[in-house]
Amino acid sequence: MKPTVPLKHQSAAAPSVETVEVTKVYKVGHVDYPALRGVNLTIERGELTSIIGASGSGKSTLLNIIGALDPPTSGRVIIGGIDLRKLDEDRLALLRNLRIGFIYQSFNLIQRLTSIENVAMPLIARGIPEQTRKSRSLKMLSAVGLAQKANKRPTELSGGEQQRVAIARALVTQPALVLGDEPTGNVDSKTTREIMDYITQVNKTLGTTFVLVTHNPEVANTSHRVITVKDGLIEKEQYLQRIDSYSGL
Amino acid sequence: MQMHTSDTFKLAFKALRDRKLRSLLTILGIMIGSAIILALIASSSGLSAGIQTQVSKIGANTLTVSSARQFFGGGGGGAQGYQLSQLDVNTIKTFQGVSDVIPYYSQRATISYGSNSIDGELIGVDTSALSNMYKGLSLYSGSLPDPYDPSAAAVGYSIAFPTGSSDQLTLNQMISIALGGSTSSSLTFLVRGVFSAYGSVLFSNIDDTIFISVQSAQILLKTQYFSGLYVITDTAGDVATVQQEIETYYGDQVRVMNAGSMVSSVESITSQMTVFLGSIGAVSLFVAAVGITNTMFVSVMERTREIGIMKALGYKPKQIMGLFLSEAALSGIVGGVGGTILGYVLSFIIGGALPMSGGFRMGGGAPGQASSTSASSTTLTPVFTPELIAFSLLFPIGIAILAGLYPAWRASRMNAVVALKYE
Repeated sequence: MKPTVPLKHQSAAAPSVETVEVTKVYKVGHVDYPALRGVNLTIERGELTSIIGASGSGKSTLLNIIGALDPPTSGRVIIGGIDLRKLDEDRLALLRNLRIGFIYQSFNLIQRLTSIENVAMPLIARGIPEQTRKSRSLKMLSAVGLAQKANKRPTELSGGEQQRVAIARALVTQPALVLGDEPTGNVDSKTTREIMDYITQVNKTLGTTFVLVTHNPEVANTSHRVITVKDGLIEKEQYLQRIDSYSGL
Repeated sequence: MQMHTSDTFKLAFKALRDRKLRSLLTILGIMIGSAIILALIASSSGLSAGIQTQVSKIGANTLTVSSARQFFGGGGGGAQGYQLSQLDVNTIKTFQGVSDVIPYYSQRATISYGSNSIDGELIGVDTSALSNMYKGLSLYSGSLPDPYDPSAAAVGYSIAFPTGSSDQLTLNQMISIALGGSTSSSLTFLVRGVFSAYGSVLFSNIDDTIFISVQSAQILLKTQYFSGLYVITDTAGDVATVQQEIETYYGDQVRVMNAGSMVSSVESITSQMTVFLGSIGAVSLFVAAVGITNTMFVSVMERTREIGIMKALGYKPKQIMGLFLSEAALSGIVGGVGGTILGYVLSFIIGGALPMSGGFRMGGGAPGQASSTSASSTTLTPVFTPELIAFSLLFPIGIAILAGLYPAWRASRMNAVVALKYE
């Protein structure tokens, strides 16, 4: 473990993610289950953050709320300076499309579509012409080393390959923020290292902010900061390295 | 920043292709509904048009008078009821607006010559008056039989040139006529003239008819009572008043019909039939619509996770709704086009199965005596108006979209987080 150094604000620009007293209560029948109980969190632009915690601690809920997929029961969520409360459903969708990429443990690829078609999905919603879509998607697939599998369907790919397709899909829109829910949960350790190397590289070169929910210490150790969530609250924040300590490596 | 419609349809197509059998069955349902509507409406319009063509061959200034009993009995004399005789011809001739009264005999008959035996009709009439009765009827060869030559006859085109027979009639050839039902009355005639192909008038096929003089028919049929009278009025405008005059004079002992009233009664029957058959098609299309809704619900449920993914990728609710609606619309388009083609073919099959001959007799257009197979029967030609084709193409699409509306809306309203967790 590297020494804990508080992360400095990189610029005057708004933080990538800011949550203020965010709570989330799930109702099952007449019983309330509080998943988040007042989370205050600031994630700067360009930061690579891991969220760890036991199952049911609320870390996935937090990720969904940051990803504008799930509204908080109370509190504010500000993404890149935009208060999500002010956005209607269409604008939330647009925000997800333009600014946020998602990577899931189970890859969540559409089975009937080929790799390149899966990668192009977010671009279709935005109305990008087919030719542009194809070249951008293919470029993204090359970047994750899967150009030669562009026309394969998910069932023809290994778990690691599927996850790389999913990463290509998450990054094809060049989002400012990428959220990963156990992105290495279903792949072997070699692939985990490859994926984390790639994520680190994108983080450094493009300044993309990553928030990864994980159980994997290797993933956590690669990040700038590790946030531990317990019983719907942030229990501990641990800074592992400065962002700028990566540059030049 | 708007999703392209072409992309929406491409995605929808891929989704349909992914579930080929289910999509095909859904489309088949729409196709059948659409085909039934098209085929039934086109056939019944064709029937209506065919009948009207036949009716229109009778002049607008023509009335037919027949004994009322013919409605039940048909055929020549002998049955109970009022019987039309030369006296009636003379009486009606005196009515205001009547220019001529042409009496005729009509009887089903078997006409034979050489190796041919043709089931047709015998009409005994003043042959010089034929052109007044049947507009545009002309001789193909020979001449009209001399009214005072009891052995002279003229025949319709199909009798002289039967389809599927190499044995053809030549002028002045002898033919033999046996009356329907009895072999006792059989006479031979010399064919003096052959008419050009003409078709049916009031369900009586002129091409299958042998015409002889009234006098010969009187002898052959052994009766002085006519099967019916053709009443020619001075102008078409006189038809209504003459009809009323005859009806006032005879009461309900005779049936008087004119071309106009026949057209309107035919129209009312066929339009009711069109509505009835059209609703059968509509019901089947409605069943297909329920099928679409059902298929779509299953599809939305199965693809819950996919919907969650699309939401995460930034698809707006209306884009997701658009995707599912496009799937329904595509099914509707394929079903509509396929159904229209199928219906087109089907209507000709229906048309072929419903030959438009027999059923009605020349005498007053009364149904009753169905003819057996004629030498050449007029087949029903389906009528396809541009409106009908457009309806058959577009209605299934509209129905499919309507049917897909609710499932598509449900898909668009799905909670992204819940959808992503769906197994």
